[in-house]
Amino acid sequence: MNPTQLAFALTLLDLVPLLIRGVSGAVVAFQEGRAKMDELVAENRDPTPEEWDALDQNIARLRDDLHTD
Amino acid sequence: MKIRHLIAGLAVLALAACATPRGETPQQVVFGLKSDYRALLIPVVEYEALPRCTDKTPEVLVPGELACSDETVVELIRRADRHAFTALESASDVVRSPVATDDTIQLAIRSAETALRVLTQVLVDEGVYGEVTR
Repeated sequence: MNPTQLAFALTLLDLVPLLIRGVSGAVVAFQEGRAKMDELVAENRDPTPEEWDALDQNIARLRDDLHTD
Repeated sequence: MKIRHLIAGLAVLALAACATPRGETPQQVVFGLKSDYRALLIPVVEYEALPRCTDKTPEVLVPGELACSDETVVELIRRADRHAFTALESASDVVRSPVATDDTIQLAIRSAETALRVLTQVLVDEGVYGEVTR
């Protein structure tokens, strides 16, 4: 690991207190996204409009929470 | 939650935000970026949902767990998120457009990648890092 990589890794460790409350949900979401990507590639197709809409709606709900006091 | 689980989760998120985009077609690439963005938003929303810090609020009640969120950090995150969202929406439109040129598509994808990295960087450098070490 070079110094830059090490610095980045250390910085990531500093993220722990922020992410501790939601990291499990984030990891699940990431894994779901990765599984969907694997599916798309395996089936050699682009996302359907329904798949785009589902992702967009999920993002919209999260952004509503983020941008609302 | 065990610390090693957290670190593993962070590594996954870091890969999500910084790895070379997955997918073989422009739509797949942007769909992957938006999926990563969704995952990144989840802990951010959790942070925003914490009560705002005040002079009388202890920032950490339990070691490793924040008790409050900093208003300045929340605003920084929101600003970076608006840029990331705009870039990702633009890329989504471009890759689904039947008239978009290859150059336009590549530019839109690069812009979305950059905006997502900026959001991650804000969390690390401007917001999260300062919050944790204050």
